[in-house]
Amino acid sequence: MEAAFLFVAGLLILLMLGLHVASALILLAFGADQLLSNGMMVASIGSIAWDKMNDFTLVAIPLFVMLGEILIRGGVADQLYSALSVWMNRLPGGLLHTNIYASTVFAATSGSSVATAATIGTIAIPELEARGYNRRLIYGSLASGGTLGVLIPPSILMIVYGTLADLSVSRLFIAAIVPGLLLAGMMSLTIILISIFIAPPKVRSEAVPLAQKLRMLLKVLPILVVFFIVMGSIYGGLATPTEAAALGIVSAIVLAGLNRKLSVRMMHEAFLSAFRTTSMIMLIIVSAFCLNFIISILGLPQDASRAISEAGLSPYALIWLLVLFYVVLGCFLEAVAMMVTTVGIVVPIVIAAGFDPLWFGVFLTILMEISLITPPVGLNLYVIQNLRPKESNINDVFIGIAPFVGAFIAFVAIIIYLPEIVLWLPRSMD
Amino acid sequence: QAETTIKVLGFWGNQPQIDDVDRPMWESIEEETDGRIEIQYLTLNEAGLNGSQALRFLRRGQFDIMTINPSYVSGDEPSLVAVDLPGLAYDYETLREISDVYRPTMAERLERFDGVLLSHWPFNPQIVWCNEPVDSITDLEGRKVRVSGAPAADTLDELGATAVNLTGGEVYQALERGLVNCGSTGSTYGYRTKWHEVANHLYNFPLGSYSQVVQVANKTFWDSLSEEDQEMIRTKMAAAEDELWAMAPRVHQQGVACATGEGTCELGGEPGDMTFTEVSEADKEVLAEIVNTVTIPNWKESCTPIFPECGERFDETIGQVINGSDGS
Amino acid sequence: MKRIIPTAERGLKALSHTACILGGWFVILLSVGICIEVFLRKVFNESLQGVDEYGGYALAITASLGFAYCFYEHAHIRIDLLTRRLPRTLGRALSIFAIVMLGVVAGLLGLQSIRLAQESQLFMAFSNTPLRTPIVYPQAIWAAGFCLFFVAIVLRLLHIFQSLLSGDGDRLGDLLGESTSDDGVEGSTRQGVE
Ligand code: NA
Ligand code: NA
Repeated sequence: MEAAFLFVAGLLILLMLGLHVASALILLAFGADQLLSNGMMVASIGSIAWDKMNDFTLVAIPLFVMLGEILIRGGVADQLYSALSVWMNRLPGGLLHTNIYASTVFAATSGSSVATAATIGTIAIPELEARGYNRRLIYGSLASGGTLGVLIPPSILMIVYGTLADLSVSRLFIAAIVPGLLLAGMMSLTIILISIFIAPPKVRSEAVPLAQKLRMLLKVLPILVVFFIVMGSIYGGLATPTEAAALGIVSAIVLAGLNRKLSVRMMHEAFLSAFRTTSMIMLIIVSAFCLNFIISILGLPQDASRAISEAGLSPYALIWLLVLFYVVLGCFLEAVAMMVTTVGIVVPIVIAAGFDPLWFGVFLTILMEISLITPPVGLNLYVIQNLRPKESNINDVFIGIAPFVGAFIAFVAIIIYLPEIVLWLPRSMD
Repeated sequence: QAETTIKVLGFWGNQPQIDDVDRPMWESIEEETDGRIEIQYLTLNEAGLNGSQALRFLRRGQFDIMTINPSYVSGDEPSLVAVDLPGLAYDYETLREISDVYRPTMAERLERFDGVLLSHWPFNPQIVWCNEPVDSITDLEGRKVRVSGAPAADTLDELGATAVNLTGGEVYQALERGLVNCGSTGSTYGYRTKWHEVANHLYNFPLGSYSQVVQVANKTFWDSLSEEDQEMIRTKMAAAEDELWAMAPRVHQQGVACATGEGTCELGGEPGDMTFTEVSEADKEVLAEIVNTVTIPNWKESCTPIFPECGERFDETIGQVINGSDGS
Repeated sequence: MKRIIPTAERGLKALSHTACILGGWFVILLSVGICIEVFLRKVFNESLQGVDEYGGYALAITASLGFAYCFYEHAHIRIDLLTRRLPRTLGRALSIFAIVMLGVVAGLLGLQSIRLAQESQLFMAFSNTPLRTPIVYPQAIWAAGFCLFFVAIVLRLLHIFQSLLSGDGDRLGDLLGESTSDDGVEGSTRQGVE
């Protein structure tokens, strides 16, 4: 256990020195190998990198990233936002709910939280600032709504988890649908409660005739079509998740064509943006696997599981301990790296304690979402921070996110004590 | 304090061959030498590896002892997989004869990866699980079958079936939703991952072969050991090897009993009620034709560029065994 | 000398940019191939051999060719939350240190990926699929991506060194990517992982 602690401390120091996440992981692996093992690791990184970068399940990552990038540029996100806003403006909290539900729908086609937060944030911030909404709530709802990008399928994190835990990515996707929608509802409830009891919005919205509302709803259709092509082909036994992503890409290109947004230039922009994400993730995945390799060689996973079984924790105590562990670690670490380096250790322990690995995948993804919105290192916070007007205060983002972090913890409790929320849909499909 | 540390890479964990025989055998060395030799045993799952790079790891000396599946590494060294081509053997007696007669060739070929061959043993036959009836091998025509590796894919191609490549975790869902009609895996793995819930027919043909492995020492490491230690390890491994050969058919039977619900299921869980079909003599003829016209020629073609005598060597060794057992 | 390094860097930037565009079209081509595969499998029980195999190579190659582009875009995640609050000189020193360490990592990955490809050539290794692709070809292109990444970092370090010598603080700031984010994490603006 001391060794595990030293690894975490070493990693945090390297990260705080400002090293790139990938170099911190690899350098820590080399350091540990030189000091504690036979120093052969350097010669193995070529093999490790090739194995991981050449994995057909992981091919789904660039494909889902590309899918999101093409959709963003195909003009569907703006339509989505305006269509949903006419339905939300009468709720307590008004258009803030649009942030949540537009993120929810966009998440159904994007595998990434950051892309979801950035896409919806770009549209929402100018619109809501102009209408005089509470800044803190705007930022909080956008940053937390964006995290749905990795819970509602497709999800890059679930692809990584499925690869690590040797679980069906398709089943993980299906298991995450109900929790994803419930979590969106929790966020909406948070906005309602704040709007009623703490900060009633000063904005008044005009009523929109139902006919117009229904007409606007048609604009959500295209994105739902892409979602049903992707999830439908998985559920219908037509395609694997990787293949479904490819079907999604082709349909997104057709959609962009129908919207008259398709051009070589637009595609090239999508490529470049997709590569910025994909290459960055792949470098982290390769580095995290190198660290993972040396951690295994040193026998840390066995030590950790021995220590935990000797501690004689009850299953629920174990799970809450993991919540604490991941929330604290998630303040400082990036989610993919956190998953790759810990799943191999944690999943066998959790299975031994009687939990379902499918349930744990969804649960872990929710904990990873929390890491995206907890300072100091929370990618979604930085996305929103970069989108906000320069005269606003950065603390608005940090304060705005706090009630949503609370909602997340409440949701984690619900998932722990009602695991059926996760397991019901995949089982009822058997 | 340990004088020597031996880093052992096993195979996939959570199977009796590894958990009950291989791992305890290695770890017993620690006690028997009063800690003079320390053992660090890792399974593939524990190391986060998939086994395809095993020969490269062997050559670099990352591990001292490695468990290597010839099929996984047939891209790097095609000659080894000759012992594990689908359709060569239907029983473990033949399989062991094949192993014995081909062992010198395997040892010779492993030398170019600085490997010293120590033992060779099989797992369960990787048989066919289908969600539609299979009474004969020809029923696979038009079906989508999940397999990995070129020889199995070639065999399916000859049978008019489509080979689909899927990761292990995805197969349950794929069988359930009809993305594939069949998949090939060992009876115990299939039972533990609940394939019997989504497949109803078990056809006893080792399409994915027997998942045989060789255990190999890195030469530099091996030469650094004293002769007594080498002898001690060889003796222990030989005993374990006999046990593992005897164990494989038993473990296979256990898995079949659980998946079909016939006989007592000792693996726990809710037994399935799959229909079990043996390979008929007529099926064996169909398969022998494929083996002779496609599987073996394709294999010879793949190994000739790097090992020109491989064809001849095969005919002199394994070829003799399989023709002998045909009674011709 | 004054011009050579910036020109070389511009050239390499253009090269990495082009590699990404080509990689992007490759991914689109792969997607179309996968769609055909899904259609053929469903309707005719046929399979285009090797779409999954080439998909794996596509991921490996496009990701490695993208490393250099990512570097120029300051998209490799780095937490500069703390370093930004330090005195400017110290902060910049740490930024340069981070680039040096990334260079070390890229150099190691480049070297080992070349070794792996050389090994494949030596073993005459092929893929264990019906296509039996000589594995050295995809591996060589993949290794080239790491090398491109390494060269990009070396050129950037030379460029940084040059602007340090000439005392050009603004250019140094640009080279270190100080303008890409005002607080926090580099390059998480519109793209990112989770
Ligand atoms: Na998503
Ligand atoms: Na965080």
